[in-house]
Amino acid sequence: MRALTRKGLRDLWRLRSQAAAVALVAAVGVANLVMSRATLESLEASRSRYYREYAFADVFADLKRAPEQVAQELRRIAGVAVADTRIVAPGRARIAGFDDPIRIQALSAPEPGGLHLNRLHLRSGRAAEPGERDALVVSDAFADAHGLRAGDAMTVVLHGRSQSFRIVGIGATPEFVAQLSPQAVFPDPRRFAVVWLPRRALEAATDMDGAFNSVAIALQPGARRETVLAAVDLALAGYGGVGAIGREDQRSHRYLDEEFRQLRTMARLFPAVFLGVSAFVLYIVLGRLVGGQREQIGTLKAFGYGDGEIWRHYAGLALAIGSAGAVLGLALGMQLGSLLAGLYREFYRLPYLDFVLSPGVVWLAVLASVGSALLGAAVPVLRAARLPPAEAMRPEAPTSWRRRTTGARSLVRVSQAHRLILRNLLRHPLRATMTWAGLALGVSVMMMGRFQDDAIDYLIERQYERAERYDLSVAFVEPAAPRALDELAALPGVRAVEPQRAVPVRVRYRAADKRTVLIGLAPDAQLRRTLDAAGKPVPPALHGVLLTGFLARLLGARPGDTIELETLEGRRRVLYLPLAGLVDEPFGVQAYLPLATLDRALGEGPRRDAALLSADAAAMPRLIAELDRRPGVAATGRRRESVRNFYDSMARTILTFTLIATAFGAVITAGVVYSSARAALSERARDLASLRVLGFTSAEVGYLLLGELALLTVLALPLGFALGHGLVALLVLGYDSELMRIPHYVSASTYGIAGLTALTTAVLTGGLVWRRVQRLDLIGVLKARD
Amino acid sequence: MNEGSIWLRLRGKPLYLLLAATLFAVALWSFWPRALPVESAAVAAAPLTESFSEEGRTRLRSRYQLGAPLDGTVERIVAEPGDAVAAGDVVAVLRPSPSAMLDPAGRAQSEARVRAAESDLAAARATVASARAEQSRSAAALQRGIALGAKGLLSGENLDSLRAQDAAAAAALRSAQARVDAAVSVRDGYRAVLELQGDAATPTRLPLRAPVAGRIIRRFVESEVAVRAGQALLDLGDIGALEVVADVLTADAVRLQTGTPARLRDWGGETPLHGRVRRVEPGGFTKVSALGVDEQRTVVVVEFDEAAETPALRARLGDGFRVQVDFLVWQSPSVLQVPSAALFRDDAAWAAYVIENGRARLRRIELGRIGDGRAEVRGGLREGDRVVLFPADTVRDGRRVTAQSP
Amino acid sequence: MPLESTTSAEVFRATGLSKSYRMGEVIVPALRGVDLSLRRGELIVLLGPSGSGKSTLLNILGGLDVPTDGEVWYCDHRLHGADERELTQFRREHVGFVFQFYNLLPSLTALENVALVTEIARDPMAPRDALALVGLEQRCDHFPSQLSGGEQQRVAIARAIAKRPDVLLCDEPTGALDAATGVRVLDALDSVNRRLGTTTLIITHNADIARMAHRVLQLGDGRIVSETRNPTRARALELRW
Repeated sequence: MRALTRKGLRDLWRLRSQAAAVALVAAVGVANLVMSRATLESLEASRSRYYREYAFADVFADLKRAPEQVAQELRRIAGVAVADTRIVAPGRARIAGFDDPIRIQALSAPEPGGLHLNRLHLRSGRAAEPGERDALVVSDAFADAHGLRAGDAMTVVLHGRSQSFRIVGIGATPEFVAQLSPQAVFPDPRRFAVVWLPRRALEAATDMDGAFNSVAIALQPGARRETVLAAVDLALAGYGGVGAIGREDQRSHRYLDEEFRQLRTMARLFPAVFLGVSAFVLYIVLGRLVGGQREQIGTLKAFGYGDGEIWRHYAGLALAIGSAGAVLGLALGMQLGSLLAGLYREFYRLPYLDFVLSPGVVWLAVLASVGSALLGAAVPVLRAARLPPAEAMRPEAPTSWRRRTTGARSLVRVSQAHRLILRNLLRHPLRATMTWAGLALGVSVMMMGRFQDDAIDYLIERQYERAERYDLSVAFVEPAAPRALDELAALPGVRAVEPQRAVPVRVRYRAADKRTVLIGLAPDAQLRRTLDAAGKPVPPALHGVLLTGFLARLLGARPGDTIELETLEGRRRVLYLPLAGLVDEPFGVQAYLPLATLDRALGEGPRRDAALLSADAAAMPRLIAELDRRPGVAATGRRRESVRNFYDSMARTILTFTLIATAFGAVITAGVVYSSARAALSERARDLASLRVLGFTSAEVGYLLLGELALLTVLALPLGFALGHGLVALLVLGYDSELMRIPHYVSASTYGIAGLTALTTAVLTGGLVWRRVQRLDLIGVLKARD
Repeated sequence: MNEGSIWLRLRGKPLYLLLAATLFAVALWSFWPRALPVESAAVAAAPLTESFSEEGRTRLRSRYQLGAPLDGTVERIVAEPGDAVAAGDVVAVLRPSPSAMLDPAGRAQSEARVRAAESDLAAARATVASARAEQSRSAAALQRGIALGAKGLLSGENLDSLRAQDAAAAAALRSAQARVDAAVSVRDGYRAVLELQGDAATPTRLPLRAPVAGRIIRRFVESEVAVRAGQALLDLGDIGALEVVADVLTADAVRLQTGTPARLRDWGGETPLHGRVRRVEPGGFTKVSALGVDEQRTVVVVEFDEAAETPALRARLGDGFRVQVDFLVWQSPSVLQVPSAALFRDDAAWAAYVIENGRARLRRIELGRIGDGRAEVRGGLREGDRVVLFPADTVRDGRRVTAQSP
Repeated sequence: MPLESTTSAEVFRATGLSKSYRMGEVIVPALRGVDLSLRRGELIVLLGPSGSGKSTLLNILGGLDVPTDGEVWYCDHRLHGADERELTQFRREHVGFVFQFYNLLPSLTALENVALVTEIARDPMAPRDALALVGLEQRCDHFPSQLSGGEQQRVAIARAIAKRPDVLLCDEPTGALDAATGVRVLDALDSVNRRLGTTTLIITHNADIARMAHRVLQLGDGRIVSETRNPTRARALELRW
């Protein structure tokens, strides 16, 4: 091995702790990159394969009811390859040992033989035979949540009729990768199931003999989706069609797409931050190394080593560190990626979700780590290479010291030590600023990590404690007359009943349109309120419609503009109403009208789709039993239990993410502090040792070094908080969508934890350097030349 | 080297102190318990009403149906729904079919009908007698009650009940008398038919007359239509004499008595109308509820409170119109009450969070009557206490809270 | 000691050499028009007080620095106006340096320090041989921190000669050493000069060392003040200061 290489290796060894700091920070960035990108790729690949192998449809259309012959019309539409009719019905279920109400979505299973879409993937058991009247296949998330197996019994209530079924199989279809009920915001696997029944059994249960109320369509390659959608709408208009949607609007697909979007955002933001910091720390470390080796560089050049050889030598150091970071990061990333994939498996029921590390990701990781290392090393390395040899061997001239702030001389009576500290900071303003920035980044990363926790808390509080305050929600099978409300009011324990009506609409403003739901609320509603951005209730206006703020932004409408609302049910009336106000809600996009106005506008008399109840907790079991035995009740939901369940299921995920992010942030802080302090120590070792020789204690000498760091750390907090805010804002922007808006909310405890962790890490790391200060070699100093 | 105590060491190193101070300050600021913003309301004395609501419909207090006395063809129905008619006015003309006129069986039928009408008349007369007796009895009871009430020995509620009974008795008497009149005219009508039938010289037109004064409510057949004997032709009655009936759950019906006030709303008018329960029928029946289960119900009849509002409002109501009836089972002009949004269960007892000195305190409460969104407080709260509405899971006993305007 | 022949080829020729440089905010004229000529095999001692520009002249001759004015030739290589690549190549092939503070790489052993140079040389000695020449073959695997000053300097000499340079430029080689050690170092330089015929230029402020040179140049205030030829050359071991 060449002597120069040996030098490099030994230098690296000498620098090992600082190099380790850099490598660690880089590793964290790479791990993050690998984790999110690999998970993303694995999820996307698994999903594509699943869709392909199990024939996920391209177009879905729901309608009220059409005879089977209508399917022929659909098949004749240009661009339609397959049209699969089916029956879909919401309902309820009961299983032994579980008292809470269970909502279900029942679908007719495709008949065997022939080309069918959205095929069942069975995890265990078998599909139901067409002739079986009491067999069903149940969704796997639900089955797992309750430990159900083939052979277990399940009671299903459809259209008011209750029937006992046997589970013959457990599985899912591509339509239900995310298994959540149409009204829910997050999955509740214990309280929602999808069941697949043989077509004939479902026909009997829902009075749909020879008819269908939903159709799935696969397009021919090259077919234009918009034309097919329009044609399908036309064909189904007479049968109560509510509007065909493409795959991208299908609920489960949308849900997963949202997740991908979030992963992508994370994959872009976090690694950039970490790798940036690692580049910066490397810049410090290498800069000081090069500075300390000026004479050696000069000597090498004197003996004929060219610029190229010099910069390749130092770049090699950077490369070594970068590679170490890449390797470490890959290993860590793979571990975390598997962990993440495991967490995702619980939510997304893909038949195969193996964590796959593609060569592309590996290359990206290596490139990123090495690239950031080279970036950080660029300036010092080039500086080393360009050093004229003669100058290199001259002692470094004191940098020009101009008199600054002449007036501030006697402003504060600072001791000599502080003057030294101040002078050192001012002499290297760029360095000081960058150390300050690096520390601030550490704080901001920790804030970003805890943000998810804060955001969820805020969302839950906003939506499920301030906006929605009911105890039970009751959905009716058929829109009911107001009499049904009296009936509910008379049930045991019911204290208040608030009615609701919902109708699917297409909301239009100028060129933009969106399919959503129009909800009628009682004007003095207390159990479900519409709140504005400030959290104040804004009741549905008498002469106008309220829209979710995000929806209004999507449409480009402002209060006062006239909105067109085309109802997609019943008489399909079109309403023109001015936008009366905006509702600030985190989930979904909705439109609101006063109940009476909606009744009048639709012209069908007062009809109620659901009611919200406030009930006495002591009477709850009886109340639920009473609701359960009423065939007119489609489903009941318990708000508090849903929220608690959500917290329970998310708690583990949130805790994991928070811990990881805090650890990452601490690594950055430690890395910056340590390398900064060590580099400064090695650079000023002689000065500091001389001071020791002159009689200063190691505490006093250490103070010069660590006091400066303490000051920078304290000053870094406000910048860190501000940067954290900025990073959170970036995250929030990336997450905003129709399904959910994450609020830009940072709790006080997040500031606290980020700040405290940064400060504590700084103190601990400083302590490590402190020990080196104590071991300064005084004798060596005395021997050195002046 | 002796470094001394930590303070000595730190004394000359203010930057370290700064770090420590910052640590402390950050910890303090971020973990200082913050007051939770909550909605609140005051416990105060106010009127409270305990009630329940049921869907009802209007109906004519007394309704008469005019039927065809013989087979024939309705030549003309003179009156239209909504027309006012006096007793004895011709409302329709029937052209009896020849066979009906000459048929001995038909004649026998007519004789039987006359006899039936006469016995109806006798019964109606007997009803008048008993109604009269009832009326004088309840008038006397009312007089006694007024006397007692003047001495303060009778509650206003009971007095109202007596008043209501008296009024009901008077009304019953009136309607009994009206029934007598009607029975008379029905009998006369059948007698006329009988006379006609005996006479071979067939008059081709038989005028049908209104048995009582009133308004035509409904018309069942058009002109020039063949009808059979007994087929309903017209409904008529006194539209001013409307009442409301509702099918009430038996468990709720036992909370009602004659005279219980009722509020009638959602009938389409701007203001609610007022009434009183006239009668709770003792016979229950099974009815399928809106959501599909069997329920036991009974009919409750509510009459309009004459004194309470203008007849002009009520005049817009017809027969069989929908009304939402709130039965006001109990009322009090002033009782200490708390919004039910503040109430929750603490084990088996009711409780609420009271805001004291900026903190939420759990207090067990004794409740009385439960009204519309509010409940009577019998113990545990004082007037002026502020309670937390819709307390979230995060509210605990001792938690700092701050009341905000909703 | 008889005089060496003065008819050997001219190795260095400088005419009108001037150099000024910036030290912080100050412009220092280090050389003001120096003319000199060095012949192959000569051992020249350059005398002068500190600040007289001796190191500057050495640096320019060694291609470590470029003159601000004037001409410098090595054989027929033009050094003034040469670019960095050319100068590097020149140093690599022809020049060996010995510095006052040894300038050994602290992270390499004695052997490796020498190997550093032999690995890029065209026709080097084996590093061990070079160390043997200075009598340090026993200390091959010691790091500079384990060697005394004199030993370090000798390693530096071994490093300088290992590539068989045509020219050996020594800047105050004994400045950091005591008399006894210094003498040994000078002896090594002397023996290299005699045995290998390497043109050697030694800078010092110690006048006694001049006795071992062929010629002595006196530098003062940026100029050559005097040039003396030594009729006899003392042996290094005879020097005393």
